[in-house]
Amino acid sequence: MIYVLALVILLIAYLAAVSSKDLVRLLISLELMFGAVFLTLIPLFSTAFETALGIAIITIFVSSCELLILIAALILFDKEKKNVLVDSVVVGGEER
Amino acid sequence: MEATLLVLAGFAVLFALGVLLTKDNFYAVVFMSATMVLIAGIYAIFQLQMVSILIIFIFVGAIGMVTVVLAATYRREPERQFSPYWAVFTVVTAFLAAYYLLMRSVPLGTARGFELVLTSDLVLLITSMVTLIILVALSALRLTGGVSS
Repeated sequence: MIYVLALVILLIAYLAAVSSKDLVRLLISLELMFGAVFLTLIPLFSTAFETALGIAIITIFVSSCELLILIAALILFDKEKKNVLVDSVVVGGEER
Repeated sequence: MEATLLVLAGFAVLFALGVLLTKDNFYAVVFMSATMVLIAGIYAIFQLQMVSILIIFIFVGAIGMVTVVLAATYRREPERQFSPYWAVFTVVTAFLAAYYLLMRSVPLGTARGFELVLTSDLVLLITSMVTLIILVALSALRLTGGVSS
């Protein structure tokens, strides 16, 4: 049941990510995805408690670091483009 | 325990749907924080309070609050951000994957009976992770021009 719950939340987060029109909503959906990933760790605690605890701690801290960098990137993006719309995002070399 | 888990899971899915369906980013963050609190609650049901507290402190207390500030700062005209075409694919995928997972009859694990012992390895791990987050925060501040070199 935990896996099903994680899957449902993950897919809702994916849908929110592909539907998002601004980068703040994209960031929110990423945080939701991390929440789903944390849920999948719960069954591991019953078989290898210490390993699962180590993985959980590393996952929580590393994902929060990643989100922190993304927030900094969002602020930089706004400084350069003066908006946070997904449509303004271009890949390397692409002209808009 | 099973009933509490079901209630928490139901509310977690409802709040996650709130993130998807709300027009305003500010409310989306509030719904996301509520989902994270419920996920932490599920951890607490399985007697994993330490992980639960970490999730609440970091994902709701720190990252969640920063995202609330971001959503409030970059507030714009509320607009529906929901793609019905992608929703069809997502529902089909969710149905197939959930059917497969439920048919596999995976035993539900519990961590009941385990006692958390703060070993030196665990303390070292937590210390190094806190150091990592401080370093990343300082780097992010420098990137955005918050501190001068």
